[in-house]
Amino acid sequence: MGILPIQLMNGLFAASTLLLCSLGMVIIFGNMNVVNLAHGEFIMVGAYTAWFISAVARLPFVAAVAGAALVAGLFGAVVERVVIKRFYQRFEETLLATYAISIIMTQIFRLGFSSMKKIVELPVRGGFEIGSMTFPKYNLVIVAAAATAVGFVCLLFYKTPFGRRVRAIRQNRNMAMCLGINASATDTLSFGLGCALAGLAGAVTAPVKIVFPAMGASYLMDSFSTVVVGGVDSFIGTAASSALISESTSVLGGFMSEVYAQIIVLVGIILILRFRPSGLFAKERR
Amino acid sequence: MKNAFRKALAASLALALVSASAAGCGKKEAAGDDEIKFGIIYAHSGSAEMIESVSEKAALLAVEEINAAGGVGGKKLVAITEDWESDESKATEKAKKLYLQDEVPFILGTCLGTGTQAVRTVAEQNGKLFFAPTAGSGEDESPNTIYTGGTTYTFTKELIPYMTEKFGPNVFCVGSDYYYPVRIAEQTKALVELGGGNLVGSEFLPMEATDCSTVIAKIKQQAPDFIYANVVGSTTAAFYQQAKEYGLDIPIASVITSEMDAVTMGGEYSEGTYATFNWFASSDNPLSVKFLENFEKKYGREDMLRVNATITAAYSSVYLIAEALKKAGSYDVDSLKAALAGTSVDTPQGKFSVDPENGYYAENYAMIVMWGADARPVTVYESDGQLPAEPWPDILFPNGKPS
Repeated sequence: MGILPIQLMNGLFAASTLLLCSLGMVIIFGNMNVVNLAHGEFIMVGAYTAWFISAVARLPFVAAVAGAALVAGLFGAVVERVVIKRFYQRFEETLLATYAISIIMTQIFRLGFSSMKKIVELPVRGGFEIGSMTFPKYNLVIVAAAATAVGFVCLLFYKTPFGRRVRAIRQNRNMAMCLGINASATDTLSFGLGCALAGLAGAVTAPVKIVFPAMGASYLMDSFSTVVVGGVDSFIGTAASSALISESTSVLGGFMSEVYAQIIVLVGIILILRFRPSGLFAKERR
Repeated sequence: MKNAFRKALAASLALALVSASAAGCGKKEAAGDDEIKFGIIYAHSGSAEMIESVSEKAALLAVEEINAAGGVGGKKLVAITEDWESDESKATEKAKKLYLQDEVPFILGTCLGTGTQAVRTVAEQNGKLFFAPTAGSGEDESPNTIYTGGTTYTFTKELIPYMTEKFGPNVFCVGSDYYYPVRIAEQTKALVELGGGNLVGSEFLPMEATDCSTVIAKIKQQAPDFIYANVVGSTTAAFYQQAKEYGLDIPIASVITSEMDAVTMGGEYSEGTYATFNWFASSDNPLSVKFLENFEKKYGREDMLRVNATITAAYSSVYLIAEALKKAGSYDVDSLKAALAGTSVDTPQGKFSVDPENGYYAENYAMIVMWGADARPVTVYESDGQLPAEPWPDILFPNGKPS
């Protein structure tokens, strides 16, 4: 068996992880225009909540995932009310504020849980085989979670009144408010939803990652580049760019050093943005 | 762009903090006649914190024990501790503060390579001494720096024949992508070929990578007899875990994985893998048993289970320094350095002695252990006595140190 089919599968698993971690950012960055530098820290909150519920409280993993989404979502809603709300349309201030939030969150978790790395046990053990290839069963859970999450946000944004309100505010905030949409409440809800998705991603990926206070930083740049390549506000575009980035990193990595593979993919991302500055799946804008 | 922005912001915040704290610590402590001051630099935040915060505890325990036993020639050891925050520019700044403002003749500290390099440079510039309780990768040396962990080459040289005899001669090297694992892989290649085997593959993962699926696929393709895995940080637990989950049924050995990693990832994933270094908690040396007992009494069981060779070396190094100070009789760099040349002291890690002919690397014992299901080590091999550090391995440098 050659390495190519293995790497295609590994690319699929990596893409699911990347997509799951980027969905929240599509909402907050793509639809609300907030550059949230604390995105990775909300993932960290989700991962710690999952660790706490599964390893300390010894509850089932499903509870851990639900709890993580809830905690991160509520926390996100509070942060929006207290901080983000004051900085809409003020790009530099938002950067500073969310950067400060990321530092504060990291330090609070360091003080509360020490910087000892935590492991969340795999809820599903062992491997499954395709031909002579073995993969961890839990990878299937990540793929399923990513697919479900994308399906859920697509339905929410394109088939429900809430989604229509968010899109209306995005198109013309003042007009939407004139039509009786409570923009402030919708903002809080969407920011909370974005954070809940980040928390969910943190929980679902926690068993294959290492949980520690500074873990968020590594997610931020990956999510940003995925979302930007995908066209910023498009869920399907982000799914496609996750697949493109992860598959090319995996497949190239199979035939050369993984460090070089990463460099080539980053150069590729820069080239894509040079020729399509608004991403691969950008919608026509007025 | 965002990264640069973060850095700029962090730098300006740090600057503000420094200027604020500098105002508070302007006065210099007067050196008492009955005290010997020295510096300790360890990180209390950042990537090195997990190991270095415990190392500092071990060093302070040794200071306390030595002082309780009457100090060094009647004088008490006084450690001035500084935190380098896993940031090499901070390490430079703190080393300068200790050497120039506090006027200490020597500093002990750092485990992470970046910090060690930073303090080492300051020591060289100012003609001071620096004790690094870690193993150097070799192939360089400094007249001002004493690597009390020796070099990794010493341990690799013991490990490869052991693993080859047990499992076979074909090795795959995995490492995190920085100079230390890269050096180790080069040395391994030479050693493996010397024994008639092959380095069938060598892969380096990006720092802090947690997806090891690609490298595991590559290892499976090459089907080596064993894996020499020298990954660091978050990658360690990820690699060992994924090796099991992806059904990689090949023995793993490491010169980096220690008690700290085994405790973090749990016995389930470390069980049955091998590690080599100059000390493990399974050592039956009475001084080692006593050290762990005292450590647990003072700092609790959780910290004691994390104690590894590097942490123990912080403790042993203080004893080595105390012995050298006794012999030197005075308190300046030159006489201390001269006294170190022939100093030998019993420590939890066996006899410690520094070889000035050999780039001031300490001579060490070598141990090989297998991790048990309880994430504790079980000794499977011990070297016959102390081994020279060999910073310039003769199989790579047949003419000795290049000039």
